[in-house]
Amino acid sequence: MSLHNLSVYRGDCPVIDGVSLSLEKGDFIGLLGPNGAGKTTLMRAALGILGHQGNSSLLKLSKAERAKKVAWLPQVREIAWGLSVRDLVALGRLPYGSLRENDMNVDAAMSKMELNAFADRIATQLSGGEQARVLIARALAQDTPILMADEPTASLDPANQITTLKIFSKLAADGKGIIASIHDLGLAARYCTKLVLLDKGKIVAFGPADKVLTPKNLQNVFSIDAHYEKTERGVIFQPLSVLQTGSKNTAEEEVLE
Amino acid sequence: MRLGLFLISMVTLLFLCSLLTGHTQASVTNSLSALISGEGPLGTVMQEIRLPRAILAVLIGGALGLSGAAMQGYLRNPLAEPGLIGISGSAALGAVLSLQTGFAAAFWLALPLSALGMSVFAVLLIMLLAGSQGRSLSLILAGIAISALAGAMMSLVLNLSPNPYATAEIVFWMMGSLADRSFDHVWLALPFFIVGAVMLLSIGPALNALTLGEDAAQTMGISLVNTRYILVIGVAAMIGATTAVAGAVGFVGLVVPHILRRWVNSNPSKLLWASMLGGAILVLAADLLVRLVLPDRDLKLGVVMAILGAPLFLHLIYKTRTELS
Repeated sequence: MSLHNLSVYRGDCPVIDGVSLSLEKGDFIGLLGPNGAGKTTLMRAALGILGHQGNSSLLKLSKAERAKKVAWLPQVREIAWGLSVRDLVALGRLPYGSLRENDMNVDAAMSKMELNAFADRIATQLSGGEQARVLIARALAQDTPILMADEPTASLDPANQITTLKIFSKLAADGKGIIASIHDLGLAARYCTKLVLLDKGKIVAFGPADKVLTPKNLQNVFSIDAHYEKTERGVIFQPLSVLQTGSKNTAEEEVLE
Repeated sequence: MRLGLFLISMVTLLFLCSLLTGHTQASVTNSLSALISGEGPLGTVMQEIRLPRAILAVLIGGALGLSGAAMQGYLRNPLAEPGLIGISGSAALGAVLSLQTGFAAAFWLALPLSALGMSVFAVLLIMLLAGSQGRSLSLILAGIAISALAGAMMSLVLNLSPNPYATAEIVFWMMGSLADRSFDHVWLALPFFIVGAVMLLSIGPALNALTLGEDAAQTMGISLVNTRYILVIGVAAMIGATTAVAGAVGFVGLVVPHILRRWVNSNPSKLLWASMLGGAILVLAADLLVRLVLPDRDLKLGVVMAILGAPLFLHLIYKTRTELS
């Protein structure tokens, strides 16, 4: 998949400003950036949900073909009706026509997300973490070479966050291409093969974690400083403090004092 | 599958009961042979009064149940009902206007045709108001606005009504009924029913996908814009025709999908079929009650429906309140 010079405007103001990006097999790209940087907008535009300028290679395909090429996991975990877990996961097979009993892809997706014990439970009655796993399984059942996920780890406990990202990185290693927006920079640094740092609709940095999470980028984009260390047990990244940057903030503080 | 067989046999059973119920008392065998032969006064009663009435009960119940299930599936809300997009209100306004102006008396189908005309106008207005994005919120808002406008116009007509008889006629018409309908009404409603049913049943997979939200559905090959066009036109065809021939019959579209949802494991596309049959059952049963309880007082179908429907709905809410919370 590739994006070329993609822009999204809200009125006259560009929310995404000329972004070009390519995703290869085996990539697990972590999309980073502060709130409002345009992470969700970028992915939705690439999928053709939002109007935009520029090119996304996905949009050369028809809607039906695109559904077999890319699966999308929105941030809002919406499950409208009390379907059983298995029926919900089986919705991922919709792009392939009528649902068959005992579909291999459904079973495979369920076991990948360790949902076999939940198969007959009502999806709306599960906990948030379990629902997240069910919805990921739904996207996996769609059996697409590309997976896009909007904050898949949001509101999950640490064990579920790590498990989810491990599954994503294994899927990428097995040949999928994955893009996920992630707010936890430490987890992104550990599990993604590449990071994209987005700020005000533009790509600020792209590459492996140590090239992207530099003190300068962290200061300019997130206004934080952080501890970054490569250890035997992988990268350890911990944000430490908020930096006072703009003169406006200091001015306000002076008034308060 | 088993649910389907059960529902179909219930429809058949109630359809027969409906044929055998009415003013003229006759044995089952006499009635059925008169229905087939059409001979004698009983034959006329069977073929020209009871048969169209029973057929209309099936069509109208099916239309209300199916539209209700489609609306709930599309809006992902168990409180949605066919009246929400303003079609039934607009159709009622058309009928009321024709009663008020005396146009209804001009020829047989003047009233249903004006009701249909007004619902076509409402569909065009909704499409104009709701925009081209295919999002459901703008559809609800446009529907509420049109319902409110139609309601206000109806009040205005009643307000300006020249004599109490016209007012009474309008009020009684709005309660909804299947009494004294003929095959003309069946032939008028049938094409709209078929077109609407084919359209609404075709969006089953889209409704399934919408379980996961509009964003996810779009990336599963579903066109939201097309789905909404099909939904609005399908519901309008069915509800416009229903209101045109039977007046306003509430609660069927709300209650039936709600009752049947658990029986289809909450699957929105299976619920379409089930609710179509379930709606037919409920309206056939209510129309039987209308004739059995107070045969001489011309009890109105819409009134019985609401009296039956509201407590049923309360009971369902009581039973499912833990799931809803």
